[in-house]
Amino acid sequence: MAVVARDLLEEADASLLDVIDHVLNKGVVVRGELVLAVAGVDLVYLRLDALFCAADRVAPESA
Amino acid sequence: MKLYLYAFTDRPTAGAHGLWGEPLLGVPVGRFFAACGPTADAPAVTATALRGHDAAIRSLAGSCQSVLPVRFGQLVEGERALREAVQPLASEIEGALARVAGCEQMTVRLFGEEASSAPAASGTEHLLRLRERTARRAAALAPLRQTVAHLCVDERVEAGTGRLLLTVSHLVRRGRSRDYRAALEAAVPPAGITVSGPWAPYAFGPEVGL
Repeated sequence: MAVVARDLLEEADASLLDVIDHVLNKGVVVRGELVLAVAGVDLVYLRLDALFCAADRVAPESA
Repeated sequence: MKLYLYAFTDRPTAGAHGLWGEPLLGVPVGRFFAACGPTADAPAVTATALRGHDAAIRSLAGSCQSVLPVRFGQLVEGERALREAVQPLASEIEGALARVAGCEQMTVRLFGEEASSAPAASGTEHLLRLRERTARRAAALAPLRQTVAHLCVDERVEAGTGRLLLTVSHLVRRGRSRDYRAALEAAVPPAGITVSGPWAPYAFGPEVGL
């Protein structure tokens, strides 16, 4: 049976920590303006092992 | 108007939307496309924005065979600046797009005992610790590789710190993520391992620039 790509990628079991590690720590980097800030502090680079203590600093969705 | 980058794709974007609900543009660069959305500023790092970035990239998989995610926060001044920034990387991006065609990523984290944080008393002790850590990583990685080798197209391995020994990213064909999980659950003890995915292939792009 043919597999629909959209269905496949929508099934991810993605905790916020996983999302943070993939979205902030991976992916192609091109030259451009990179402005990341958490709680008013500029942030350029994050790693999963640092995020065990830093994840609570990601602004809540209502912020 | 600035452009916020989401991904590089093999086809123009169709029906995908970005963080702010904006329809994504597919700016042609050489033989591929840069999926981006017009915006005034880069998004702040919030849980909503991070999930939105990921969701936009996932939505591109519906219309594209190859999707290469761009890291969160990449902003360029416009189409001209975008082409100037991307053109020098074109051959690497084309190669990476070919590599991830029809694939998705599974991410495995392997945990072990926490490495000692106390300073080594001597150079010899430092080297012995390094050797032990390397051996632990190799011992953790071997059974994982053996278990899922028949499903993997490509692999990236990143050393961890503390209890995290390794982060292993495997590229698998779309539709095989369930088989991947099932293989791991059947063969590898659950303690000390976490599996997540499928993801867009975040770990399989060239890391250049900045």
